[in-house]
Amino acid sequence: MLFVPITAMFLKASTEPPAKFWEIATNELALSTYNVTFVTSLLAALLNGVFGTLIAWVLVRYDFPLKQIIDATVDLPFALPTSVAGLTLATVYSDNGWIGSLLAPLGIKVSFTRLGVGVAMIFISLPFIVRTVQPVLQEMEHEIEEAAWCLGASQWQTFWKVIFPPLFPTVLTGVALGFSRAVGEYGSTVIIASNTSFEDLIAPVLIFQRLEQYDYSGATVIGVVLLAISLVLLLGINFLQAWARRYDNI
Amino acid sequence: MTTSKRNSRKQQSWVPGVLIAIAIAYLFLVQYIPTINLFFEAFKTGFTPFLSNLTKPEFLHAAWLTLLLALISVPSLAINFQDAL
Repeated sequence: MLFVPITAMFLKASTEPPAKFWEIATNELALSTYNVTFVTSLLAALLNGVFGTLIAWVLVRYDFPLKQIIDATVDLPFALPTSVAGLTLATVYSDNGWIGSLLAPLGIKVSFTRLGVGVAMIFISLPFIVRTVQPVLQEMEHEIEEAAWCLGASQWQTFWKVIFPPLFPTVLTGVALGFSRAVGEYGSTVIIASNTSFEDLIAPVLIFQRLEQYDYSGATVIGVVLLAISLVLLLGINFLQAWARRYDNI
Repeated sequence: MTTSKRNSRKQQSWVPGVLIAIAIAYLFLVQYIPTINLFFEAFKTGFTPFLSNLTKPEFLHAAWLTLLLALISVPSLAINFQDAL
Protein backbone atom coordinates (compact mmCIF):
# COMPACT_ATOMS: atom_id res chain seq x y z
CA MET A 1 0.00 0.00 0.00
CA LEU A 2 2.71 2.46 0.96
CA PHE A 3 6.02 1.11 -0.30
CA VAL A 4 5.09 -0.12 -3.78
CA PRO A 5 3.94 3.30 -5.06
CA ILE A 6 6.93 5.05 -3.50
CA THR A 7 9.38 2.52 -4.95
CA ALA A 8 7.73 2.85 -8.36
CA MET A 9 8.12 6.62 -8.14
CA PHE A 10 11.81 6.34 -7.31
CA LEU A 11 12.35 3.88 -10.19
CA LYS A 12 10.60 6.19 -12.64
CA ALA A 13 12.55 9.22 -11.43
CA SER A 14 15.84 7.33 -11.69
CA THR A 15 15.31 6.81 -15.43
CA GLU A 16 16.60 10.37 -15.76
CA PRO A 17 20.40 10.70 -15.72
CA PRO A 18 21.63 12.40 -12.51
CA ALA A 19 22.59 15.66 -14.24
CA LYS A 20 19.16 15.92 -15.84
CA PHE A 21 17.51 14.98 -12.54
CA TRP A 22 19.34 17.79 -10.79
CA GLU A 23 18.45 20.23 -13.54
CA ILE A 24 14.72 19.43 -13.33
CA ALA A 25 14.75 19.44 -9.54
CA THR A 26 16.50 22.80 -9.21
CA ASN A 27 15.23 24.85 -12.12
CA GLU A 28 13.92 28.26 -11.14
CA LEU A 29 10.25 27.37 -11.42
CA ALA A 30 10.63 24.24 -9.28
CA LEU A 31 12.56 26.19 -6.64
CA SER A 32 9.88 28.85 -6.47
CA THR A 33 7.18 26.21 -6.01
CA TYR A 34 9.13 24.57 -3.16
CA ASN A 35 9.36 27.99 -1.58
CA VAL A 36 5.61 28.62 -1.92
CA THR A 37 4.65 25.14 -0.71
CA PHE A 38 6.97 24.74 2.25
CA VAL A 39 7.28 28.30 3.53
CA THR A 40 3.54 28.94 3.30
CA SER A 41 2.74 25.59 4.94
CA LEU A 42 5.19 26.28 7.73
CA LEU A 43 3.75 29.74 8.39
CA ALA A 44 0.20 28.35 8.31
CA ALA A 45 1.11 25.52 10.69
CA LEU A 46 2.91 27.88 13.10
CA LEU A 47 -0.03 30.30 13.15
CA ASN A 48 -2.33 27.38 13.82
CA GLY A 49 0.09 26.19 16.50
CA VAL A 50 -0.70 29.39 18.42
CA PHE A 51 -4.42 29.62 17.69
CA GLY A 52 -5.05 25.86 17.72
CA THR A 53 -3.51 25.61 21.19
CA LEU A 54 -5.64 28.55 22.28
CA ILE A 55 -8.79 26.90 20.93
CA ALA A 56 -7.91 23.59 22.62
CA TRP A 57 -7.27 25.47 25.87
CA VAL A 58 -10.59 27.30 25.68
CA LEU A 59 -12.46 24.08 24.89
CA VAL A 60 -10.87 22.19 27.78
CA ARG A 61 -10.78 24.84 30.49
CA TYR A 62 -13.73 27.16 30.09
CA ASP A 63 -17.48 26.75 29.91
CA PHE A 64 -19.48 28.86 27.53
CA PRO A 65 -22.69 28.52 25.54
CA LEU A 66 -22.64 26.26 22.46
CA LYS A 67 -19.31 24.78 23.57
CA GLN A 68 -20.26 21.25 22.54
CA ILE A 69 -21.24 22.38 19.07
CA ILE A 70 -18.06 24.40 18.61
CA ASP A 71 -16.03 21.44 19.84
CA ALA A 72 -17.71 19.21 17.26
CA THR A 73 -17.31 21.66 14.37
CA VAL A 74 -13.53 21.84 14.77
CA ASP A 75 -13.45 18.66 12.69
CA LEU A 76 -15.28 20.36 9.84
CA PRO A 77 -12.23 20.49 7.51
CA PHE A 78 -11.98 16.69 7.77
CA ALA A 79 -15.57 16.31 6.62
CA LEU A 80 -15.58 18.94 3.91
CA PRO A 81 -14.06 17.70 0.63
CA THR A 82 -10.98 19.83 -0.05
CA SER A 83 -12.20 21.07 -3.41
CA VAL A 84 -15.40 22.30 -1.77
CA ALA A 85 -13.32 24.03 0.87
CA GLY A 86 -11.23 25.69 -1.83
CA LEU A 87 -14.32 26.81 -3.68
CA THR A 88 -15.98 28.42 -0.70
CA LEU A 89 -12.75 29.93 0.67
CA ALA A 90 -12.05 31.44 -2.74
CA THR A 91 -15.56 32.95 -2.78
CA VAL A 92 -15.47 34.32 0.76
CA TYR A 93 -11.99 35.81 0.46
CA SER A 94 -12.36 37.15 -3.10
CA ASP A 95 -12.69 40.91 -3.70
CA ASN A 96 -16.49 40.79 -3.59
CA GLY A 97 -16.81 38.00 -1.04
CA TRP A 98 -17.95 38.43 2.55
CA ILE A 99 -14.51 38.81 4.11
CA GLY A 100 -12.56 39.75 0.99
CA SER A 101 -14.72 42.83 0.37
CA LEU A 102 -13.75 44.11 3.81
CA LEU A 103 -10.05 43.57 3.11
CA ALA A 104 -10.07 44.91 -0.46
CA PRO A 105 -10.23 48.64 0.57
CA LEU A 106 -7.11 48.04 2.67
CA GLY A 107 -5.36 46.80 -0.45
CA ILE A 108 -5.21 43.20 0.75
CA LYS A 109 -6.05 40.62 -1.86
CA VAL A 110 -6.43 37.11 -0.49
CA SER A 111 -8.02 34.89 -3.12
CA PHE A 112 -5.83 34.13 -6.14
CA THR A 113 -2.65 35.19 -4.33
CA ARG A 114 -0.15 33.46 -2.10
CA LEU A 115 -2.09 34.71 0.91
CA GLY A 116 -5.04 32.68 -0.33
CA VAL A 117 -2.85 29.58 -0.44
CA GLY A 118 -2.00 30.32 3.18
CA VAL A 119 -5.68 30.67 4.11
CA ALA A 120 -6.49 27.31 2.53
CA MET A 121 -3.58 25.69 4.38
CA ILE A 122 -4.69 27.24 7.67
CA PHE A 123 -8.20 25.92 7.09
CA ILE A 124 -7.02 22.41 6.35
CA SER A 125 -4.43 22.05 9.14
CA LEU A 126 -6.29 23.60 12.09
CA PRO A 127 -8.03 20.42 13.38
CA PHE A 128 -4.72 18.55 13.53
CA ILE A 129 -3.32 20.95 16.13
CA VAL A 130 -6.54 21.26 18.16
CA ARG A 131 -7.15 17.52 18.24
CA THR A 132 -3.54 16.75 19.18
CA VAL A 133 -3.33 19.26 22.02
CA GLN A 134 -6.83 18.80 23.44
CA PRO A 135 -6.51 15.29 24.97
CA VAL A 136 -3.12 16.06 26.50
CA LEU A 137 -4.46 19.23 28.05
CA GLN A 138 -7.39 17.25 29.42
CA GLU A 139 -5.07 14.71 31.05
CA MET A 140 -2.93 17.33 32.71
CA GLU A 141 -3.03 17.22 36.49
CA HIS A 142 -4.72 20.11 38.17
CA GLU A 143 -2.65 19.64 41.33
CA ILE A 144 0.46 21.04 39.68
CA GLU A 145 -1.31 24.26 38.81
CA GLU A 146 -2.79 24.51 42.27
CA ALA A 147 0.66 24.03 43.72
CA ALA A 148 1.94 26.83 41.49
CA TRP A 149 -0.86 29.10 42.66
CA CYS A 150 -0.18 28.24 46.28
CA LEU A 151 3.46 29.15 45.77
CA GLY A 152 2.33 32.56 44.58
CA ALA A 153 2.68 32.30 40.83
CA SER A 154 0.47 34.59 38.77
CA GLN A 155 -1.86 33.12 36.17
CA TRP A 156 0.57 34.02 33.40
CA GLN A 157 3.52 32.51 35.29
CA THR A 158 1.50 29.37 35.93
CA PHE A 159 0.76 29.03 32.26
CA TRP A 160 4.16 29.97 30.90
CA LYS A 161 6.39 28.17 33.42
CA VAL A 162 4.23 25.26 34.64
CA ILE A 163 1.68 24.28 31.99
CA PHE A 164 3.39 25.20 28.76
CA PRO A 165 6.75 23.35 29.02
CA PRO A 166 5.21 19.85 29.25
CA LEU A 167 2.65 20.83 26.62
CA PHE A 168 5.24 22.09 24.14
CA PRO A 169 6.19 18.70 22.57
CA THR A 170 2.50 18.03 21.93
CA VAL A 171 2.07 21.40 20.26
CA LEU A 172 5.10 20.57 18.11
CA THR A 173 3.55 17.23 17.15
CA GLY A 174 0.35 18.99 16.16
CA VAL A 175 2.24 21.59 14.14
CA ALA A 176 4.19 18.81 12.40
CA LEU A 177 1.00 16.94 11.51
CA GLY A 178 -0.68 20.11 10.29
CA PHE A 179 2.40 21.09 8.35
CA SER A 180 2.64 17.79 6.49
CA ARG A 181 -1.06 17.96 5.73
CA ALA A 182 -0.67 21.49 4.37
CA VAL A 183 2.30 20.45 2.20
CA GLY A 184 0.27 17.69 0.59
CA GLU A 185 -2.82 19.83 0.18
CA TYR A 186 -3.91 20.05 -3.44
CA GLY A 187 -7.69 20.29 -3.81
CA SER A 188 -8.33 23.57 -2.04
CA THR A 189 -5.10 25.40 -2.90
CA VAL A 190 -5.45 24.70 -6.60
CA ILE A 191 -8.81 26.51 -6.56
CA ILE A 192 -7.96 29.45 -4.32
CA ALA A 193 -4.61 30.13 -6.02
CA SER A 194 -4.32 31.64 -9.49
CA ASN A 195 -1.55 29.08 -10.19
CA THR A 196 0.67 31.75 -11.70
CA SER A 197 4.27 30.60 -12.06
CA PHE A 198 6.71 32.22 -9.60
CA GLU A 199 3.83 33.69 -7.58
CA ASP A 200 1.45 31.22 -6.03
CA LEU A 201 2.11 28.01 -7.92
CA ILE A 202 2.47 25.20 -5.40
CA ALA A 203 4.62 22.15 -6.03
CA PRO A 204 1.76 19.60 -6.26
CA VAL A 205 0.18 21.70 -9.00
CA LEU A 206 3.51 21.87 -10.82
CA ILE A 207 3.52 18.06 -10.78
CA PHE A 208 0.05 18.08 -12.27
CA GLN A 209 1.11 20.54 -14.97
CA ARG A 210 4.07 18.31 -15.87
CA LEU A 211 1.73 15.34 -16.14
CA GLU A 212 -0.54 17.29 -18.45
CA GLN A 213 2.48 17.84 -20.68
CA TYR A 214 3.11 14.05 -20.66
CA ASP A 215 6.39 14.75 -18.85
CA TYR A 216 6.06 11.77 -16.50
CA SER A 217 9.66 11.55 -15.37
CA GLY A 218 9.75 15.31 -14.80
CA ALA A 219 6.70 14.99 -12.58
CA THR A 220 8.19 12.10 -10.61
CA VAL A 221 11.47 13.95 -10.14
CA ILE A 222 9.63 16.79 -8.42
CA GLY A 223 7.62 14.20 -6.48
CA VAL A 224 10.83 12.60 -5.21
CA VAL A 225 12.21 16.00 -4.19
CA LEU A 226 9.02 16.83 -2.30
CA LEU A 227 9.09 13.48 -0.56
CA ALA A 228 12.75 13.95 0.39
CA ILE A 229 12.17 17.46 1.76
CA SER A 230 9.14 16.26 3.74
CA LEU A 231 11.12 13.36 5.21
CA VAL A 232 14.01 15.62 6.22
CA LEU A 233 11.61 18.12 7.80
CA LEU A 234 9.73 15.40 9.68
CA LEU A 235 13.04 13.99 10.92
CA GLY A 236 14.03 17.44 12.07
CA ILE A 237 10.73 17.87 13.88
CA ASN A 238 11.21 14.46 15.54
CA PHE A 239 14.61 15.55 16.82
CA LEU A 240 13.09 18.79 18.04
CA GLN A 241 10.45 16.77 19.88
CA ALA A 242 13.05 14.52 21.43
CA TRP A 243 14.88 17.64 22.53
CA ALA A 244 11.71 19.15 23.98
CA ARG A 245 11.08 15.93 25.92
CA ARG A 246 14.63 15.70 27.22
CA TYR A 247 13.54 16.11 30.86
CA ASP A 248 10.71 13.59 30.72
CA ASN A 249 12.65 10.69 32.23
CA ILE A 250 14.29 12.59 35.03
CA MET B 1 -3.65 37.45 52.17
CA THR B 2 -6.56 35.37 50.94
CA THR B 3 -8.64 38.39 50.10
CA SER B 4 -5.84 40.13 48.23
CA LYS B 5 -5.13 36.94 46.33
CA ARG B 6 -8.79 36.58 45.50
CA ASN B 7 -8.88 40.21 44.40
CA SER B 8 -5.95 39.77 42.07
CA ARG B 9 -7.70 36.72 40.66
CA LYS B 10 -10.88 38.75 40.19
CA GLN B 11 -8.99 41.43 38.33
CA GLN B 12 -7.84 38.88 35.80
CA SER B 13 -11.27 37.39 35.26
CA TRP B 14 -11.46 39.07 31.86
CA VAL B 15 -8.86 36.57 30.64
CA PRO B 16 -11.25 33.66 29.90
CA GLY B 17 -13.68 35.96 28.11
CA VAL B 18 -10.97 37.41 25.89
CA LEU B 19 -9.52 33.98 25.12
CA ILE B 20 -12.94 32.58 24.26
CA ALA B 21 -13.63 35.59 22.03
CA ILE B 22 -10.31 35.14 20.19
CA ALA B 23 -10.92 31.40 19.72
CA ILE B 24 -14.42 31.89 18.36
CA ALA B 25 -13.39 34.80 16.14
CA TYR B 26 -10.59 32.69 14.66
CA LEU B 27 -12.93 29.76 14.07
CA PHE B 28 -15.42 32.11 12.41
CA LEU B 29 -12.82 33.59 10.08
CA VAL B 30 -11.33 30.25 9.11
CA GLN B 31 -14.24 27.82 9.26
CA TYR B 32 -17.71 29.10 9.97
CA ILE B 33 -18.02 32.02 7.56
CA PRO B 34 -16.78 29.91 4.61
CA THR B 35 -19.17 27.10 5.55
CA ILE B 36 -22.16 29.42 5.96
CA ASN B 37 -21.23 31.03 2.66
CA LEU B 38 -21.26 27.61 1.03
CA PHE B 39 -24.89 27.03 1.99
CA PHE B 40 -25.74 30.62 1.14
CA GLU B 41 -24.32 30.29 -2.38
CA ALA B 42 -25.98 26.92 -2.91
CA PHE B 43 -29.46 28.19 -2.06
CA LYS B 44 -29.03 31.76 -3.34
CA THR B 45 -31.14 31.12 -6.41
CA GLY B 46 -33.75 29.17 -4.49
CA PHE B 47 -34.39 25.56 -3.78
CA THR B 48 -35.35 24.35 -7.27
CA PRO B 49 -31.98 24.91 -8.99
CA PHE B 50 -30.34 23.22 -6.02
CA LEU B 51 -32.58 20.20 -6.45
CA SER B 52 -32.17 20.05 -10.22
CA ASN B 53 -28.37 20.07 -9.79
CA LEU B 54 -28.69 17.34 -7.23
CA THR B 55 -30.58 15.02 -9.58
CA LYS B 56 -28.29 15.43 -12.59
CA PRO B 57 -26.93 12.02 -13.70
CA GLU B 58 -23.34 13.34 -13.62
CA PHE B 59 -23.70 14.32 -9.99
CA LEU B 60 -25.42 11.08 -9.00
CA HIS B 61 -22.72 8.98 -10.62
CA ALA B 62 -19.87 10.98 -9.07
CA ALA B 63 -21.46 10.88 -5.62
CA TRP B 64 -22.07 7.14 -5.88
CA LEU B 65 -18.48 6.49 -6.99
CA THR B 66 -17.09 8.52 -4.06
CA LEU B 67 -19.30 6.69 -1.58
CA LEU B 68 -18.50 3.27 -3.05
CA LEU B 69 -14.72 3.82 -2.99
CA ALA B 70 -14.86 5.09 0.59
CA LEU B 71 -16.92 2.05 1.55
CA ILE B 72 -14.32 -0.25 0.01
CA SER B 73 -11.14 1.47 1.18
CA VAL B 74 -12.05 2.25 4.80
CA PRO B 75 -12.95 -1.33 5.87
CA SER B 76 -9.92 -2.71 4.04
CA LEU B 77 -7.72 -0.29 5.99
CA ALA B 78 -9.41 -1.36 9.21
CA ILE B 79 -8.68 -5.00 8.39
CA ASN B 80 -5.06 -4.11 7.63
CA PHE B 81 -4.78 -2.46 11.01
CA GLN B 82 -6.12 -5.57 12.71
CA ASP B 83 -3.53 -7.67 10.89
CA ALA B 84 -0.81 -5.33 12.04
CA LEU B 85 -1.95 -5.71 15.63
